Amino acid sequence: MNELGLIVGLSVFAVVAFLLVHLVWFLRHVKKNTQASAAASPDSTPAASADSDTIDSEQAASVGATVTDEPQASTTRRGVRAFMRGNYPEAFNLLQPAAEGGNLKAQQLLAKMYFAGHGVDQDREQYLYWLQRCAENGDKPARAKLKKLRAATG
Amino acid sequence: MARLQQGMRNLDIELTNRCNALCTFCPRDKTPEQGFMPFETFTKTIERALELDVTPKVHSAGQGEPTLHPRFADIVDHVSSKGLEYGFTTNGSLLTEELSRRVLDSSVEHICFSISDLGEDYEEVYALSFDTTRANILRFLDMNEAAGNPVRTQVSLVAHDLNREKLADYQAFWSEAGISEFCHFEQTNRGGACDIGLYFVDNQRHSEDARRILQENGLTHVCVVPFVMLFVGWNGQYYLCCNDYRKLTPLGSVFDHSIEAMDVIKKAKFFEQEIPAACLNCDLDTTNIVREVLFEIEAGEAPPGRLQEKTAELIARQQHYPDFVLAEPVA
Repeated sequence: MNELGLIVGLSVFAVVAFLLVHLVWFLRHVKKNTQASAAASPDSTPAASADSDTIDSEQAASVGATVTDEPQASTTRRGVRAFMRGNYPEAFNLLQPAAEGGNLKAQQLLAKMYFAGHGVDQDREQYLYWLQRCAENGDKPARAKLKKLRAATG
Repeated sequence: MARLQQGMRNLDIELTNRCNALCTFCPRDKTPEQGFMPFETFTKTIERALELDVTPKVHSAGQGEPTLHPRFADIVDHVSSKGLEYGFTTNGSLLTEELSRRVLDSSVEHICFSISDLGEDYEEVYALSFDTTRANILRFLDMNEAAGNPVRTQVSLVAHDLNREKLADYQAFWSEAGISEFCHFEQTNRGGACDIGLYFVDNQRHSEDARRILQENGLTHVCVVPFVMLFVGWNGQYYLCCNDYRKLTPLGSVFDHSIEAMDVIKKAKFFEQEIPAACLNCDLDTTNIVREVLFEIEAGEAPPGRLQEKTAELIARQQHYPDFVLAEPVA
């Protein structure tokens, strides 16, 4: 009986310790996120939340980069991230407004989602629509694909 | 100066950064100037390779399609005349019967076919005709087999959203066609030229923390890639890395610098006040690797233990670094 009590006691202790460790980690995470949200715009990613550390647009332009302190840019980044991880419904929700707003990367990914049926029903019309938007936005591959598709359909 | 360990160097000679494909995962359109490497620049680069005590493996991949080069056949012949083992990466769409024969008559040691998709997906991703590419590759494989397989063939597969579930089928397709080597790659952000949704890009947050973490773990911030994957652009300039798609960091010409002299110049780049532009947004950069983990922990996407796992991974990787990379820079 004593042995059983010891085993039960140790098991309970292990479970409680496990829960405590994760609770502490969770609380720290919540605290950090709350602080980050308070400091940043509601839509910004962690990457975009510290204005003081973000490179300025001149520096960014010098290396061909874009500064991500605009809410839309950060939403797009999260959308791209979701897309890369195969979280397509989330990617779609994040990318669609950016695509409508003219963001080329978001438009390219939306075209792919309609082409492949990622997170949406496969839809050739929508695929061609977004390909057209990409082409109008200066996307060379989209132009080439449209040209080829038009040639194929006469 | 401690020499680099034997057999660890590859020299990528970019014959061109032009390409007939428009792959969705390739940021080649970010390249500001496009052109073909002059033949004299190629022969000079080969001279530079032969100056080294240990000749590196010479390969042409770069940022374009090597077979587009108007003197590609002469290039292949030149390498043969120097007795060098040479290989190239191609999308296969221009590998005509004539070019295939020329390649088989030369000392080309290997060809890597960059073909990550089949059928309609291939046409969507590469914007090339799949039938042409398939016919070219199958014909080359037949000719190679008839010649006793002098050329080692491999297929490079870059995982992306359309093919992730189909890679095993694609590999089976090419295996059946006679290819036995496969290189699987995940997409990288190509020196920041590709947006793959990484948090650290375009900002400098967590840089100090990351540098401190590297130091505490005895990790160097010097990237190994510029020293083991040597890269010469089509214009004859050495660059830190083939991922410098925007050609942001030209380091000097092959006509002015030997590869060993360039090692010293490259090493010094990592100890300048400013981070080399080519590395600033690169996901292969060690500091950026740690920064990304810090962002993921901050976002609640990874547990804090992830940092320890990543540093352990980096420590294990660093054990394979050449001595030169780990040594203090030459003053």
